[in-house]
Amino acid sequence: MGKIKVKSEKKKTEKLGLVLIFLLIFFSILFLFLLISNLLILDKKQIFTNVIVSNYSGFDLNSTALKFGFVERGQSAQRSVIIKNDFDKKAKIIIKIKGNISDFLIVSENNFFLEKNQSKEIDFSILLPEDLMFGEYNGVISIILKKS
Amino acid sequence: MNIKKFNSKEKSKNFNSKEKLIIFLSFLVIILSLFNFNLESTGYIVNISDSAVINITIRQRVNINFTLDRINFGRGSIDAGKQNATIDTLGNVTDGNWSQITSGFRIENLGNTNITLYLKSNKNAFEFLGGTNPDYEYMITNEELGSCIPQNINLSQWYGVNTTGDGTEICNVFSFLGDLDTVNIDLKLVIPSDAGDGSHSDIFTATGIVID
Repeated sequence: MGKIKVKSEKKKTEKLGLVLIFLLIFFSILFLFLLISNLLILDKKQIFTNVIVSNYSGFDLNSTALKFGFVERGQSAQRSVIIKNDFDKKAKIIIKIKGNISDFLIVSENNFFLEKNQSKEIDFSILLPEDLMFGEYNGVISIILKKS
Repeated sequence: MNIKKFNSKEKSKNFNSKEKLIIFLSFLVIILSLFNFNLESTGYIVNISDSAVINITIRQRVNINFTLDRINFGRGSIDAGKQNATIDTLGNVTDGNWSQITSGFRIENLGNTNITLYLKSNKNAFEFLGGTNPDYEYMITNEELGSCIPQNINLSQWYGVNTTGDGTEICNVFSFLGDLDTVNIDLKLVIPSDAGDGSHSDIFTATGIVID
């Protein structure tokens, strides 16, 4: 009985060891992937964005944040951003949106390339569902410039 | 209890130095990977890297679209023997049996700068209503006196909709000042008796551009 117990404990330890080796390989790959993708980032800018769901409309024009002001449920609004590549080579632009605004904030173009000194106007559109709760919805738009 | 304690101690003893190193490395890599996810919080435009090779300009304009579903005139028909019916968002219904609507669109300038306000529709009167001599008009009024200073139109007067470009400049200066920053847009429809049956819908776009 004692020998069987020791054997099963040994097997368990071996299994645990295998799981740990697997985890080590998995996270090492993940770590390397993230490290490489971070090294490819040349620049990153973040813009605060928000919309207030209201029963009437209102403009809030701001040059430092992408505010949509008051928008009614079931209605939409657009604002745009001009992105310019000041890097001395062609680069890739990636746009990421975080926050509770991300469910209804749509970007006109993503994962595109810009030549040296080339600029592009990108539209951000808010399309509010009819059943959305009144209130403020915020988020952060990250515009990332990566080596192509 | 004693047996359980003994087993757990025995388990920890079962890890040899090689396995302990793997465990340590696993945790180290996991922590580094999670750290690499780079969780950031921000307020306004933030430059993450020192080298600014990306240039961002936020355009000083915004478009807000209003679908006419928002003003729901509901079902209705033209009175027998009449050429057309007129309905508006001021509560008037002439020669028809539509329900009264007493409010149009309301727009406020919430920002901290004066803007110029444009209004356009997606369809003209014929595209929207059809039939013979339809009419589709809007009227601008100040909800708060002095909010809108027009140059191309008169306040409290009906104008046919404009479908081209940004539409018609309805407020040359749309004030942001506390009690002077709200305008109303009312609509009037002249529905001919030979207009097509069914539901009709359109989208209005109000565009605000910052005055330099």
